[in-house]
Amino acid sequence: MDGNKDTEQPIRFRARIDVVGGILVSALAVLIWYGSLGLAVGELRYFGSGFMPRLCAAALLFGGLVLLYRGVTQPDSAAERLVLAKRGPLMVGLGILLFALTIRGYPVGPLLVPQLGLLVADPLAIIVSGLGSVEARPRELIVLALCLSGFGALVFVELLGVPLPVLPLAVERALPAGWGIDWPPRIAAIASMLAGAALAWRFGFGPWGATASEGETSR
Amino acid sequence: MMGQLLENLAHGFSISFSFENLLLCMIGCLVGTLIGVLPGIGPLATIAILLPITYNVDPVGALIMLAGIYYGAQYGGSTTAILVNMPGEASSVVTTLDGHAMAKEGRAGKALGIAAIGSFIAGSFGVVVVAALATPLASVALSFNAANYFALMVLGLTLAVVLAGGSLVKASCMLVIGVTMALAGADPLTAEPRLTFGFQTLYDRFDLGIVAMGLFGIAEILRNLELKEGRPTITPVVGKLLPDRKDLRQSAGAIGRGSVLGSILGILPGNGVILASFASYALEKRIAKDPSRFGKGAIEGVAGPESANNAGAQTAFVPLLTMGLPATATMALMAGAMMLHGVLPGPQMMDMHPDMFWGVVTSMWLGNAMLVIINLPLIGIWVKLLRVPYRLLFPAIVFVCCIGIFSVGLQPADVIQVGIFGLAGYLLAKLKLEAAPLLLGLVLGSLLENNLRRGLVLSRGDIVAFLGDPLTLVLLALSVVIVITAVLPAVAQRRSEIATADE
Repeated sequence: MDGNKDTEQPIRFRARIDVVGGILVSALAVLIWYGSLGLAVGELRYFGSGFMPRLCAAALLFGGLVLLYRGVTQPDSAAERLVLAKRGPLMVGLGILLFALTIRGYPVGPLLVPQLGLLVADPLAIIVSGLGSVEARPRELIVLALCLSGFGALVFVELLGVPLPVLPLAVERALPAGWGIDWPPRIAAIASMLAGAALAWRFGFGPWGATASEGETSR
Repeated sequence: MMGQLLENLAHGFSISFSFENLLLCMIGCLVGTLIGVLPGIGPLATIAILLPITYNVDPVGALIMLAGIYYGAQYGGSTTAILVNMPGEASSVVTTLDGHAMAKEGRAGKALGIAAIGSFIAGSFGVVVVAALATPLASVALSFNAANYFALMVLGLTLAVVLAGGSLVKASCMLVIGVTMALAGADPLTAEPRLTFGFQTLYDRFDLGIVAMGLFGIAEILRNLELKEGRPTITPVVGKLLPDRKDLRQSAGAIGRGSVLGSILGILPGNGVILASFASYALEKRIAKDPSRFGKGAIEGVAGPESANNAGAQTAFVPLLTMGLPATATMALMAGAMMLHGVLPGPQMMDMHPDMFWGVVTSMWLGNAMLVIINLPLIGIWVKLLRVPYRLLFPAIVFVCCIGIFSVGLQPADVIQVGIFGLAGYLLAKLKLEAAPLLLGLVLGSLLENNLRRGLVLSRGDIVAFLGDPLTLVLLALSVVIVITAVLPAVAQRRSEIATADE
């Protein structure tokens, strides 16, 4: 299963990790050098802000080229192929992005993503990133999302006192002022946990989210 | 000298015995054991993830908790190594050999017991070493001038890169990238933007917590998602939990030797703790009267390595606390945590923040005691937790990361940065570019530049004068020698062995 050491099909140059790594590192070196062009270098006895970046860029370029050289000249048996998974990084990245956009609202170009608060952003993050695993089971993720979000809201907002937005902005504005700002989020968080527990019972999950059909660990 | 040491320790205990600090110590140890038991998440990633949460806690307590996670993980790792033949931590790989063999014979309880007892004794020994070395080493470091300090940092980084295994070229490149990242942002002298390419977020400098969380927390998750999850076969704990007198007599020597070996090797930069456990196993096997017992359930094969890795986990703090040199990525995070709270780790720490220094040192001993007392009865629970499927565990980790980092600055941009570093870390891992040197470079980058600049100022730009200082010359020459030896084929082979054991 480990990166195809094919004896029939040699690895293409551009798929060798050392080649890719060497190119990336060298490109980074050039970028750093470019970025430090406007900075004063000064002289050795009092170097300016541009000195270290250029030194690092030069060292990095050297290292990158050495890596590239090694990648190009190594025999096929020593080379490793670059294999990137798609599902995991994509879903987890998306999950994190959705959290960032919805927790407090975020302007994206001409659109404005409204604040949806912790109790929406958390489940989004959990469910979407959870789908990154090939073994993902949507029902479990929903239960996990509801329970963890509520629990997290209570721990971070109540226990640790961090001023996180828990509810969507629209909901916050619609609540009557008499209800205050403390209790609605608390109740919502507890409701979320209860909903999760109810769903777990409904779906027939045991204590560890393993349904009866799952194989027991053998003795 | 002795009186001074005892006085300092007494002061430290008065700090670490406070209710808040005891509670944080316990939380750290429990979390540490937990992640040591659970596969797919290690102490480095956990500390990175919990780092932002400590922003609101008082610095001494924060450090006590984070340290507890670190050595607590050693205890947890040995539990799974013995029961499930799966090392929770890289340093427990050796424990699987005889530990699991003992479990199969029905002596799992004794193995667990001796691992805990040995770890406690070794941990105590390690703490004493830390306390004893602290003052002398710190006074040595205080006498360093800027050029010396620069050379010392170069030596430390060289050792860390060389001993960490893997391709030297790649590790050095990552180190340089880390240093450059440390330079990006507002220039410390002129406040002009440096390497920011016009981005405001970059002007505020790269945040260590965000980088670490992405590169180590999220990236590790992405790597684990590619592995097929296997259901571990858990051997039931049968038999008494405590070793009897015969076992203790047999293991006493191993524990003693392991403690000393671990204490020495733990101080070395790089993978000192892992090295310690391997070295201890090799030593015990070499000097045993009947080496053929090893691999089949020799209790020394558990007692020695477990003691060594725990002693090493304590003394790993020595370079950081006394000289301000983080030797591993985890220590770099500890350094970051300290700097966050305005404490610069190093020789001045003992004078300016004695509370923090002696509080942390004494809390290490308390943590070891807690781990022994708490863990043995809780073994049943740890074993049950092994059944948590990773497909549920990792979304929870992602969730904690997101909330954790958002709760610091309330900036969605921070969370997006974590995601970006997570993806970048995944790519780097696939390219076999180690992230640990990057973290070391990030933490030490500014210090390197400052000390180099001051050193050159003091020598008025004269390279010859700069190198003329004997200490600077010796340290830099050592670095060069180490690099050269590392490049020699024989040594390279050895390093790759250590590196593969680490995976």
